[in-house]
Amino acid sequence: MNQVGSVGLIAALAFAIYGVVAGAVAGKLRSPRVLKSAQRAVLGFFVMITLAVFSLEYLILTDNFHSAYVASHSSRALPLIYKIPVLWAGQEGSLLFWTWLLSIYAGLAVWLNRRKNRQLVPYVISICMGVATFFSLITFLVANPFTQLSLVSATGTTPFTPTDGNGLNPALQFHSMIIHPPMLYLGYVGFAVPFAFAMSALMTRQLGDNWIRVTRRWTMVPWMFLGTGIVLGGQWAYHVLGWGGYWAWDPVENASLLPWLAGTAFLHSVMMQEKRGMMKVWNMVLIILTFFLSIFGTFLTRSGIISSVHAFAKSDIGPYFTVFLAIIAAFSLTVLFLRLDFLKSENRLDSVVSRESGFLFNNWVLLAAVLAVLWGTIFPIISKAVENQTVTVGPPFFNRVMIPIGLLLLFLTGVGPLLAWRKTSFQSIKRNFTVPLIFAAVVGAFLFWAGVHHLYTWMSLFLCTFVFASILGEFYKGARTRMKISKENFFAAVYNLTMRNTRRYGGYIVHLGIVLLFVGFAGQAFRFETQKLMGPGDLLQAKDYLIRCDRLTGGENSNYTYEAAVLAVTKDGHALGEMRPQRRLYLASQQPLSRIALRSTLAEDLYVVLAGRDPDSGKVLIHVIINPLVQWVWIGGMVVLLGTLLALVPSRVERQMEEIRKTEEEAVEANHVL
Amino acid sequence: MSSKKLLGALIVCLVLSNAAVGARSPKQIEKDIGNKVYCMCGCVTTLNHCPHENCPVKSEMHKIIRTDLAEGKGEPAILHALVARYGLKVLASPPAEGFNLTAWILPGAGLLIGLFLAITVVRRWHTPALQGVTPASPVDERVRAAVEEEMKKFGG
Amino acid sequence: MVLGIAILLVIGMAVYVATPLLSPESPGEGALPIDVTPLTDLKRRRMVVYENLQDLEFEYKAGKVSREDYEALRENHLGEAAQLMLAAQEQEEVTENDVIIERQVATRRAQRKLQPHDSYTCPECGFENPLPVKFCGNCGTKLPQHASKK
Repeated sequence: MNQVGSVGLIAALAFAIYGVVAGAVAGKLRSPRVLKSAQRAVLGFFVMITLAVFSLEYLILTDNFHSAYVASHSSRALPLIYKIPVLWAGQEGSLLFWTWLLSIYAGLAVWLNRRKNRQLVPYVISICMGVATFFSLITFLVANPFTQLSLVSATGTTPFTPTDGNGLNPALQFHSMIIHPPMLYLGYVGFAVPFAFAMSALMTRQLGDNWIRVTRRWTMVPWMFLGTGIVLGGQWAYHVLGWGGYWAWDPVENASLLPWLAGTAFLHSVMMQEKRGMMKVWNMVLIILTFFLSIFGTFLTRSGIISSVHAFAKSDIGPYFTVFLAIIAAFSLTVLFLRLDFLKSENRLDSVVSRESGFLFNNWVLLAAVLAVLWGTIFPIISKAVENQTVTVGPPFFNRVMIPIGLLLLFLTGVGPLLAWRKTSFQSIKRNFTVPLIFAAVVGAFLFWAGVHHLYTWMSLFLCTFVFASILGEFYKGARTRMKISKENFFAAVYNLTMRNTRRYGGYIVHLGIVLLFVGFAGQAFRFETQKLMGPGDLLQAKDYLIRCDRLTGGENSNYTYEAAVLAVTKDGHALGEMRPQRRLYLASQQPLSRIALRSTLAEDLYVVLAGRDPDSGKVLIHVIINPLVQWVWIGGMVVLLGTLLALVPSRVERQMEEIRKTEEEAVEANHVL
Repeated sequence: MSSKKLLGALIVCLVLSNAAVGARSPKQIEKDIGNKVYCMCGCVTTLNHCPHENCPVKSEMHKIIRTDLAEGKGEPAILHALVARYGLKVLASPPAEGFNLTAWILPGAGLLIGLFLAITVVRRWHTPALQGVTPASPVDERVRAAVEEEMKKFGG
Repeated sequence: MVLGIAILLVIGMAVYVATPLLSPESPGEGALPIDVTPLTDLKRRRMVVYENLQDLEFEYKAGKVSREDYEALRENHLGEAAQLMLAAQEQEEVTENDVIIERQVATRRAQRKLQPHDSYTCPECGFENPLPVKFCGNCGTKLPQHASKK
C-alpha cells in the first residue's frame, strides 16, 4: 500500500504540473480543447491524491506499523474513531490532507464553472495547480508519509515492523479534535480559490464586478470553515488543556486568526466594489493578503520556527515555504501592478458620513488588528535576529493591544449598518441612533449599578447592547415596512425580508454572533479560581458552590489507566449531582492528561480539574474554576456559522441577476455560432 | 469624527488600567506574576497554565517567587530576579524598553497611521459637488423614461 | 495486484487527459467565449444601480433615510442609470456594426472556399488575386468567370 500511495503522489504531482502549463496555454490561446484537457488534469490530480489519501488511511486502519508514519502516530489500542484523524495528526499526513482538500476545492471550482467564466477558468486552473504542485512536491520530497521503517546493519538494510506504534498524542484524543483540524484546513486551503480567481481576472483584464461576485462566495466558504475551526480549537483547549481558558494567543492560534481577519476585511470591502465600483485595487490587495497569510499560517504551524503548544515535529520544510511565499508575493504584486490602470474607481465618495466611509474605517481597524497580531507573533524572530535576544510575546501583550482594537471594531459593527449608502444626513443619524443608544445607556447604567466597574468589561457589554439593539432595530424596521407594503404578518415579513436579501440579513446575524462572542469574552473578567487537596469527606467552598469529595476511584482499559474523584456538588443548598474529573495515563505514549468535569449553564461554567495526587497523603488536588458566560462564546460561534450559511443562500435579487446573465450568455453564444 | 473621541477614551482606559493596581495579598501577587511569566519547562504557556503535573521547573519557579515574597520583595523585584535567573524570555510580554519597545509601539503606530491614511483617503475621494440634487449630467427624457421602464421590470 | 490496478488507473487518467488534445478541433467551436462583453458589463452595472435604488426606496419607507437624502439620492441614481443606458446604446451600435462587418467577411470567406484556388490567377501575368475579382489586381486583364455562380 505504501507503493500505491507513492504512485498516487507522483502521478498527482505530474498532473498538477501539467495543469499549470495546460491552463496557461488554454488561457493564452483561448482554446477549448486545451481547456478541456486542463480541466481533466484537475480531475486527474484529485483522483491521484485521493488514491494516496486512501492508501494512507488504509495503512492506519490496518495497523500497518511497517509504515513509519503509522508507527509514530497510531497504536493498536487506539479506538477506531481516533484512528481516522491520525491521517492529519502528523506533519506528513496533514500536508497530504491539505493537498487533498486543495484538489477538492480546485475540482469544485472547475466543475461549478464548467459553463461560465470560461475566460477566467483556464488561469484559475493554472494557479490552483501551481499551489497544488508546491504542496505535492513538499509532501513527496520533504515530508513523505509513505516511507517505511528499516533497520540498517552491517549486512544491509532489512525491513522492520514494530509490534505496536507510539500512539496518538493523548491531547488529540478528543471529539472536537476529529473535526477541528479539517475545518481549519478547509479554511486555509479554500482561500486559494478566490486568490486564483482574482489573479486570473487581473491576467485576462476581466475586471468588472464579475470576478468579485464569483469570488465573494468562494471567500465566504473558507472564511466560515476557518472561523468554525478556530472556535472548535478554543473548545478543544477549554476541555483538554485544563486551565479553564479557550484562547492563549499561541502563535498557531494567531496564525489562524490572521487570514480570518484579513478575509473579514475583504468580505466587507467587496461590497464597496459591488455596489459602488470603488476600492478595486484595495480588494485585490486584501485577497492577496488573505491568501498569503493563510499560507504563512501553514508555514508557521509547520516549520517550527516559533515555539508553540501546537508544535509539529521540527522539520526542514521552512526554506521551501519561504521560497513559495516569496513567489506568491512577487507574482501577485507584479500582476496587480501591471493592471493598475484597469482598476480605476467608478465612483467618488459623496459624503464623509456614509456607509462607504464606515467600511473604510472597518477595514482600517481590521488591518490594524492583522498588523498587531502578526507583529506580536513574529516579534520573537525579529528580536532574535536584531538583538540576538530571545523574548516571549504572550497573552499580556496581546490582551493589552487587542482588547482596545476589538472594542473599536465592536463599536463600528454597531455604527456601520446604521449609516446609509452614499450620504447620511444628521437627521437620518438622529433617527437611527437614538433608540439603540438609549437602550445601551440604560443597560450600561444598570450594569454599573450592579457592580461592573472594570472599564473594558463595562465598555464591551455596553457596546454589545448597542450593537444588539441596532441589529434588532434593523430587523424590526424592515419587517414593519414589509407589513405595511405587502400586508404580511410579522413572521412572514421577517422571513421574506431575510430571504430577499440574504447577504444583508445573514450579515446582521453574523454580527449578532460576534456580539455574543464579546459577551462571552467579557465574562472572563469575573473568573474565579480556587484549589484544595481533597480526600473522601473533604469540603471545598467556591463562591456559591459547595463541593464534597465522596470517594476516589480508578480503573483502566487498553488505551489508558485513570484515577477519578467522585464529587458531590451543591449550590445554595440545592444538590446539582455528581462530577467526576479524571486523570488519565495513556499507555502507548506514557503521557498523562486531565479530563475535566464540567457543569455548564448559560450564566456560568463550573470547571473542575483533578490536577494531581499528593504522594504523602494520598489526597488529590482539585482545581475549581468558575467561568461566567463561557457558553456564549460557543453559542456566538454557532450563530456566526448560521449567519454565514444564510448569507450563502442566493437571494431573490441575486437570482434575478443570474437570470439576466444567463440570457446574455446565450445571446453571446448565439452570436458566436453565427 | 467620533472615532477620534473614542481613541482618546481608549488612551485614557489604558492609563487607568495601569493605575488600577491597588494593595494585593501575597497570594494575589503570586498569581499575577504567574500570569506575567512563562513556565520554562518548554510547555509554552504561562506559569499558571502549565499543563504538566509535578513539573519540576514550575515548582522551582514557584519556590523562587514564594521565597522572595516571604522576604518582602515586591512584584517588580521578583520579576527582575526571575529574569536574572532564566533570561528575558521568561517574561510573557517583552519589557517596554530598548529594542523591545518597538513591539509595543508598532501596533499603536500602525493604528494611528492607518487612521491617518483612512482619513486622507476619505478626504481625497470626497467630492462635495456630487452631493447635489441634480443628476450627474442632464439626460434625455426618452432615456430617462426607458430607465424607469426597465427599473419597473427589474423590481417585478 | 493493487499496485497494478493503481498504475492502470494512472495510465487511464493520463489517456483521459490527453484525448482532448489529440482530437481535431471540431468546426462548431472556435475560441473560448468572452465572459463579459462591454455591453453586458454596462447592463449589469445598471442592474446594480436599480438594486441600490430599491434598497434606498425600502430604507426610506422603513424610516432610516430622511426625505431630503432620499430625494437627492434617488435623482442621482436615476441619472447614473440613464448615463449607463446611453453608454450601452452607443456600445450596441458599435457592436451591431461589428457584427455586420464580421458577417460580410464570413460570406466572402465562404465564397472564396467555393472556388478552386487557381481561378483567380491571372492568365496574363500569373498574379494570384487574393479575392474573387473580375479584373486582375495587377495588370487589369479581365479574368475568366467560371463556376462561381453555382
